[in-house]
Amino acid sequence: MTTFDLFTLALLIVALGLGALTLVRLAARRSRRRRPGAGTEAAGSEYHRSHTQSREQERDLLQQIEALQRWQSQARALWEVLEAASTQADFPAALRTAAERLDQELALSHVLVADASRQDIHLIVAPARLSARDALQALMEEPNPLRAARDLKGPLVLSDLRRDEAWSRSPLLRVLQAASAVILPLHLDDGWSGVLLLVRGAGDPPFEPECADLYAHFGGQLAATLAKTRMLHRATQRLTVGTQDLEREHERTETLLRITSELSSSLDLEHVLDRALALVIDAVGADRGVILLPSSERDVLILRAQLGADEPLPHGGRPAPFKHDEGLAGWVIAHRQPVIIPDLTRDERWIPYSDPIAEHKSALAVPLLVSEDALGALLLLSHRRGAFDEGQLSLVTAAANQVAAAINNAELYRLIRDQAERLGSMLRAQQVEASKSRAILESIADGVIVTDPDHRVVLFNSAAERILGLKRDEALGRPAVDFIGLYGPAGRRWVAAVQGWSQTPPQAGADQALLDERLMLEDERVVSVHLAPVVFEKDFLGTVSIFRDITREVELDRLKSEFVATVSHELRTPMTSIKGYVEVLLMGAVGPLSDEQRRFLEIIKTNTDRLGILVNDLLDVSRIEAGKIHLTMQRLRVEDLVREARAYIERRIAEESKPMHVHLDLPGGLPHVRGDPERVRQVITNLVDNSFNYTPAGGNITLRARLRNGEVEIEVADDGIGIPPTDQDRVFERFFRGEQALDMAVAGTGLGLSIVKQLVEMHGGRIWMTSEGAPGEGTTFTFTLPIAEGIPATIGAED
Amino acid sequence: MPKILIAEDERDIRDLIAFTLRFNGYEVVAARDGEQALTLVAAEQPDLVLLDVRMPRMTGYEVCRRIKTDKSMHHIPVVFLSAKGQESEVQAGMEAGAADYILKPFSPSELIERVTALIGS
Repeated sequence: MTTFDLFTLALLIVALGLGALTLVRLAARRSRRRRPGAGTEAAGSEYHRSHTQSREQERDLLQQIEALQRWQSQARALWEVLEAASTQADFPAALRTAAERLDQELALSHVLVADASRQDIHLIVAPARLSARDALQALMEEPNPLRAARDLKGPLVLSDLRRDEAWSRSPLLRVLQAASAVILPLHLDDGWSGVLLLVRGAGDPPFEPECADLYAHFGGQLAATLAKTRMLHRATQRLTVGTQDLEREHERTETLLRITSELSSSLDLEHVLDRALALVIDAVGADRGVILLPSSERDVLILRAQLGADEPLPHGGRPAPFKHDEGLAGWVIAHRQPVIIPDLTRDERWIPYSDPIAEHKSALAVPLLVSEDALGALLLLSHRRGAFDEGQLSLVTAAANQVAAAINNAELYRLIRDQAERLGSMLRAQQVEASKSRAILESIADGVIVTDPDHRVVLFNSAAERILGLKRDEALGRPAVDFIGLYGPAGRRWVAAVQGWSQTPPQAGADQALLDERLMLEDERVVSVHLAPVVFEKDFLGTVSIFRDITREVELDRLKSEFVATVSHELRTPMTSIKGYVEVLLMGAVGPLSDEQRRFLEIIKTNTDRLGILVNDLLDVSRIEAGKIHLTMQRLRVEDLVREARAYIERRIAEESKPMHVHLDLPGGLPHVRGDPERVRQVITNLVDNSFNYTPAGGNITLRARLRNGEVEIEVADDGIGIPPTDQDRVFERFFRGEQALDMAVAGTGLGLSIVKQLVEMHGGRIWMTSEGAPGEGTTFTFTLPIAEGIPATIGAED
Repeated sequence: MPKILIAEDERDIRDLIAFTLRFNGYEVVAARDGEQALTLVAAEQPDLVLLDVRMPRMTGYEVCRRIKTDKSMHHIPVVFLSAKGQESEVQAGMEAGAADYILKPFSPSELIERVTALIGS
């Protein structure tokens, strides 16, 4: 059952109840009129007493029945009116319908409906069959039933206007030629009030005062119906407005969606900007649109997209002929806020740079913002003044945000792509490099074995297969210790070194981390192993071993040594004769000599000595190279070594009559050193010989020794001719002799320092020299020897 | 006058040694090879033997060993005079029982010093 059905039913019930009530009232009034003070029962007894009275009573009853019938028909008519009004959805229509139906159902001469909410009278339903001018005139004047309704709670029934002093003077009622009237106020819950004026003329039956309750009730019901209609109407209106909003919003969203999808469909910035601009122009109906972005130097704005201009933009855009902070675009970017300019001619921000004929009259400009950063500006222009409104501004702002995001995305994409390309090419380069390195390692003539930190073989090249006589498959992945132990003591040292490094990673680039060994294979081949740790940022990554078959080289070395030994031996025999006989002659054993004879013989002797040194040096060199010198290591007192050297040089000073000053700088408590006494003597002697030879008479030679960094440094310094800087790198080279040495005609082979260096290094020491290269500044040679371990230092050595 | 036996296959050097020693007051017996040296040592019983190492027929080492293992000769000091100056060679000489090892080329004065040190002048 609908609300309306319920309402109708309730109305019927009320109408019937009211009808019955009215009927009883009518009867009571009539009996009171006949017999004042008598009750209903008395009236009934009178009926039996008088026949005349009975007829009167009969007539009364008939009248009552007629009245009841009129009332009933009125009630039905009013109900019809209500029903008709309630079917109208529109409030004014409902009022009009109610008026029309009242006019018909109640046989009215006029019906008026006015809005009583307002001060001045506003007619909703004007009186029919009356000239508007007459009505208007009458409406203005008092007493006015329409205005009076405002203060009425219920209906006012004026059944006979001729007898009504007040209302008979009403101009409106006169104009309407009213004989009787009902003023029916309508008060709605929502505060609206109105009035219905029902008018009957002289020929019509007058409104009955008895029906006042009926009108009152009708008024209440009509007001309720109207209130509902009004509510419905308002709701519908709101709905309509809401729907329109929704449609606008929908359009806006669609435009944005199109922009968004256009923007996301391409990462090509030019295309994206063109499409976005086209959609925005289309959405707001602009004549021209441009997008400006700052140049990479940010000093000028670049016109990156434009629509509505004749000439197309070159790829990458065209610089705008004004600076980045000038013009409308510059203002929008600088202030980061959008602006509508309804009249460009009155705005200073506008620079009509490409608009000489001022064809554009209004503009809308928005910044392209990505989180507070203005990436550029979007400008829309129109030929009309005031072409843009706030709604368009908000749409364009939203679109601009999308465009800004797209620009940002394109920029990000470009960055990521560049980065990816760079990384990719780096990776490719590395791969190529790695392949190259591998190919190089594979094709190298030396055997290469690479192990990981767990000593497992990760690379084993074909040369290693050939040299070691092992198949790659047998070696790869296996711990090196499994097979390298096959190669004797040297192989075991090799494994020990690898294991040691994995426990305490050696310093990168440290020389002592290298291991040079010779492996003697079963087939008498000799293989040299050069082992180095691979250290990267303190991490031990593994080892690289280089193997080289040096069997031939070793054999050649042996032959060379033999040859040198034979040659030097064969040289000694004639030298023995020359040296011996010259000396015999010099001794005067075969007769006295003239001064000249003695001088010449001395020359022969000196040169024979020189030849002897050369032969000895050659032998030393060849034996060092052949590894035939074996050091017999002993604990040596540094003081003894230095004092011996001083004694030696003082002997030379005396023998050769060349006065020199020899100084000793020996701190107490130097530890013993570890060395082969003969070879250490050879080293020191060689150095003091050099000092003696290359320092003029009267010069100084200083012998020093000191403890430093766990080694003993022994130093031979002089203030002789020095070594020029250009020669300093070469003094330890074999056969190198400086120009000065040659000028001074000092006997020498150029082998001495080379032998000294090799001997020092065989002891595990180092040797170096310093010289200013200027005569008188002299030269200082320093070499180190390891400390003999486990031996207490000699304390209190005196000088 | 102390008697010294010299064994040297090179005649120039043999003459040089003999001259130097005689000039310094020693009696000299000279041999040209190892075998002759051994025979002469046994026969002459010198105060000192100077041996070259590399000689025909018998090396100086062998001559030295034989002298040192012969009761009639083992008291006679032996000195090598050799162009072979490597440690191993010097060591071999000393192990054969030599009292000294003089390297060629030597100077006559040094030779006399070493000889005097062993048997006096």
